[in-house]
Amino acid sequence: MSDPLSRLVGELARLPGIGPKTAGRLAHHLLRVPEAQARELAAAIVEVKEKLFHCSRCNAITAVDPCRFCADEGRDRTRICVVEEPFNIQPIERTGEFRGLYHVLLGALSPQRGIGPDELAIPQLLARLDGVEEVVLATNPNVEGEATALYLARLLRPRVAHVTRLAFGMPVGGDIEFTDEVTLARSLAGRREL
Amino acid sequence: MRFRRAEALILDVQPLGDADRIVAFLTREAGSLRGVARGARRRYSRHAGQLQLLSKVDLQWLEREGRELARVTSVELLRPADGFLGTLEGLLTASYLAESVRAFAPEGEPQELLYRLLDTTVEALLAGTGPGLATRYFEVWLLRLAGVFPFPSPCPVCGAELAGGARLVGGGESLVCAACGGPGGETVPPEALRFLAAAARLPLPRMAAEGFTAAALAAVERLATAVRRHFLQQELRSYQVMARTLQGA
Repeated sequence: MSDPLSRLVGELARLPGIGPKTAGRLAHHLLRVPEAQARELAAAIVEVKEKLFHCSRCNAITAVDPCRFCADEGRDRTRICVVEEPFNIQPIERTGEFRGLYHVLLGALSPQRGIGPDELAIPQLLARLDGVEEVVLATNPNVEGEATALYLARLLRPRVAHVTRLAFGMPVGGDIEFTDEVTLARSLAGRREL
Repeated sequence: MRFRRAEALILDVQPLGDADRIVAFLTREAGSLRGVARGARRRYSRHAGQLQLLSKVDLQWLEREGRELARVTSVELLRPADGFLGTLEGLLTASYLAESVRAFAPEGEPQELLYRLLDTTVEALLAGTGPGLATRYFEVWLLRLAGVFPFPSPCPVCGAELAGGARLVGGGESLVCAACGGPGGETVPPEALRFLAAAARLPLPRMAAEGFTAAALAAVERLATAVRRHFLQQELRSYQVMARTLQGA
């Protein structure tokens, strides 16, 4: 393998979820595409590194500070939705159900990987609570996300009137028959009156 | 290629790409292993809810020559661990137990006793045994099974009984009486020695009736921590995170 190709494979393999084989396939694909397309990709990568950064208030990815969520006076400033990563914001936005502000923790508590509260953007969250009536904890429903939510709930309850957690349950369009026991048990525990 | 099936306890679950997860698990016969659960991150995956930390499952997997990771082909939940994962303390304790097992169980070696220890500890936690008592019992037995716990016997220097207290010396290698221990080393009070003696003869569910104080449990924790650190030459990450998190909360 020639040296530039090895370098490209090595760089691609450093991306999350990409192993050496996939990196090799991607590199050979890039060799085949027109040069302009390859330059577009390279320019796009450089551009996001040069122009994008974390919002100084909420840590969302933005090209202007404050970000469009924090700057939007039309959003409900009494509610903050807490997520683990910047890419968690978009799925919530797409629902159209939440019109408050966001706060990105930039991670989650992960005891087995040595990530504790000090590694998360928790002090910045606590500094944003003036006038906030509800904090929605939208961390993932796994060990890391649950630990983070439970930890934050303890910190937030004395400071905020309502600390809420996203509901757990069956996916819309799913079947009871094929739903695992843990999810179904949580669905039952979180059932609501109609 | 070898197809295998066993009862397993889930030790860790991590995302792999957009659709899969890497699962670390403990079995009696095959010990500690890791495998890829294909599609476990997908929305409609049956694996998603079953692959919870410390849940007991009926697991089937495929071992392939020369591959570090097995392929998990089937998971059926036998006992969820949800009962004690609903609190911050429970989640942190579960992570600590799981990392402890992974630190002391070499991959691929049979672990009958370690499996039984973790299984009974989880069972006791689900039955309502306090996390402090269960974790100290687990720590003592984990270190005993690893052959690194200096169990209290007469002082190896002067032969005196240790019932009146002891000191951990040699960086965690032996317990000697207070007179022989000198100024250094971890002090082990009589209550902690009583805990060690009880743990040697009683199953975990019967330990609660012995009425150990918080101070005694704290002394056992200090002792076990010193021995573990000396053996591993480092501290477990989950133990550090647990201490920092509970301190802040």
